[in-house]
Amino acid sequence: MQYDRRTILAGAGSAALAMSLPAAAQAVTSAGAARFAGAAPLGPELAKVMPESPALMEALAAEFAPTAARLQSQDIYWLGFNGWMTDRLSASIMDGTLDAKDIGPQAWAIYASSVWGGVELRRLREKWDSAPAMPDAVVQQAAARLARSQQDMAEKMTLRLNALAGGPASCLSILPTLIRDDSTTGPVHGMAYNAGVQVVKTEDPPVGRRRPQRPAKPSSVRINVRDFMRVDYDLPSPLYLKVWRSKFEGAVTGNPDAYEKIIRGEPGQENLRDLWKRAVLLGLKTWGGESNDKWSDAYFEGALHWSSVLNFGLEAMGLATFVALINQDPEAARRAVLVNTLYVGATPGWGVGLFDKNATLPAKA
Amino acid sequence: MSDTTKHPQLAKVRLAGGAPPLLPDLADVMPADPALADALATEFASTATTLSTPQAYWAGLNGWMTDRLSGPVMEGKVSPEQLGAQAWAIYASSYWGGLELREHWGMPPVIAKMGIKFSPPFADVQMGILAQMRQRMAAVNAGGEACLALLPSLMREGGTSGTVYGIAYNAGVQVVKTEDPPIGQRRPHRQPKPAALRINGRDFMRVDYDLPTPHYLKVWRSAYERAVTANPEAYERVIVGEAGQTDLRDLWRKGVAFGNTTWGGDSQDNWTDAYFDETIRWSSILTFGMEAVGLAAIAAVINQDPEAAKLAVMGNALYLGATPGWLLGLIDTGAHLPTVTA
Repeated sequence: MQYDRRTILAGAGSAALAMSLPAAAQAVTSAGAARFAGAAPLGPELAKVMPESPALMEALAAEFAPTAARLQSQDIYWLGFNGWMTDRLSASIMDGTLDAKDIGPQAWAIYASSVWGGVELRRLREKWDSAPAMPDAVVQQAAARLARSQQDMAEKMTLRLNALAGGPASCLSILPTLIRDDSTTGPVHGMAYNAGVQVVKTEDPPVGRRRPQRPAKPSSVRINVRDFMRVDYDLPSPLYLKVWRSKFEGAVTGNPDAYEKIIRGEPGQENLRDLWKRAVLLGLKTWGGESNDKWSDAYFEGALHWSSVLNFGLEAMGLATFVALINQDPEAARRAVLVNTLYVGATPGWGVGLFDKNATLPAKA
Repeated sequence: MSDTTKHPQLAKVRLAGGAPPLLPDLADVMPADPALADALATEFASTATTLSTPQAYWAGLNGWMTDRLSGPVMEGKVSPEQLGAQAWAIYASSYWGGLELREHWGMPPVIAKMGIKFSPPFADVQMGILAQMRQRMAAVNAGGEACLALLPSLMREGGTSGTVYGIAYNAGVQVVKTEDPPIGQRRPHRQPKPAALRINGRDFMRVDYDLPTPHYLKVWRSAYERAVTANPEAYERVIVGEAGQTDLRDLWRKGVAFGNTTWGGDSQDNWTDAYFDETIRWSSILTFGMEAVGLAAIAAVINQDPEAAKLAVMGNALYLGATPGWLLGLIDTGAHLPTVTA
């Protein structure tokens, strides 16, 4: 049976719209919440630090409903929900209104919606491709990677949760390590890679690899290897991001020596400008060329839009990390670690959705 | 040039009187074109209704006009013959913007601090515009190669007519007004507007606005990135210049920082919030065309592209009367704004 998810969700949980999270999540205990349970693979170790919260998901889905109703296609519902959610949850973290004890379920919500974004894309690829089945060897390799990724997510969550439990000063002490993480959970690498991925899809060579059938979208997302920690989107930026952009400039201008010292790091560490370059260039290698040839225009446009929105929180994370370190500001550090925690399951979640056949979309969604 | 000039029936707004000073020599290269000003004012009418105060009408018309006219120039749709009148329209609307500001809020402290002693008809200022306009138009009329040859010197002009400095200074001024110290000098009674406009001394030729950007600017931003990526050595050579020349990165830093000496502090304390907000909006929009010119200039020189060079010089010429026009409007104390009738 086919459901129009936009109308289903538009009618669900509207009372939660005006509530703040997670109060809204606690208030929503209807049967509707149950549909989200168990739909994203979650091993016991990961569940300890990233507990499932169907009620939170229900509240978020209700809040997303008006936006969902405006999506170009319902085929991109989960893609949109995921990108929207990262921004929605990042805002309360970066504004300082989220308590650290609530971060686990929120990180799960991001992980789960990422999984469902991946499942949605997998299903669409099966529809778009003439030969949908993936070779067994590829699936086996992917399954092995996914098993490791659950462990990896659990370890990353534990590290961050321990720092949060230790208080703001403890958060400050782990930031020098996090800042050099050259994966999508790294405060520098994450925003650079993800923004680079949008550039490769939209810009012509030698900057990107726009395909001839895609309309030109010059400067939709602006990132390059020169302008360190600088991203610009052809979208309105949320207030929390603008606030942290401003704080970043204030910190850098106020203490340029500390800024440069952080970038250089300790002897033997990679200069963060080099890490930035690597991440941007990696983005330019992954989702370009034929990788999106078969996507529908609606999916292509949706991916560009929502991946840009997803970058808002990543960018705020990167900027807040610098502000915290430059100013030795424990509260900024706490928020930087919180938002970093929020995103731990984002990229792995997409991998799970794409490759793990046990991952399914929520039953009634 | 514009739809409105092709369809005179749309030209319903009339601007009467208030023409800026225009010596005959300057009029030769920048001829007054009241019909064009009327047509543009008509096209602006719907945007004018979005202004939060009528006291910002001329500031709005001026900023809007720079963007409106820069688009076709940077898309190669304007002939050299049309450019002079368009540059006059920007000069005139800038002059009116200056008159409007002084009429409502008095002479800005920065003007008093500069100790300017000019008096009508402000021949020195006009001759300055004339010399720059003649230089640009000579290159444009000689063709793309001549424009290509001229660009390295235009890039290094240390005033608002410079293709690098102009962007940096004008954008820097907005940062001064909106950001807290140590970046800017936001006054306590002004609402914070974090990152309303982003420019700094580090990221050369990089400006981000909290506004939708026009297509022509996005196209030139993209063209610039392609040029820099394809030929980073040529890009660095352009920046460093010849022996003894100013490094463009230093000029950029200087331009960004100079805003702190002009429009910060108490310079706009007595403006209403509505006028203040409109100046942020329209000064940001005014930077769109300047940015496109700056990016096109560097892309042209990197790629040795005569056509891009010609557009960059034309776009630069369009703005030559902008800053002097504002200055004259501020100091021409006996002048009056045009009457607007619809």
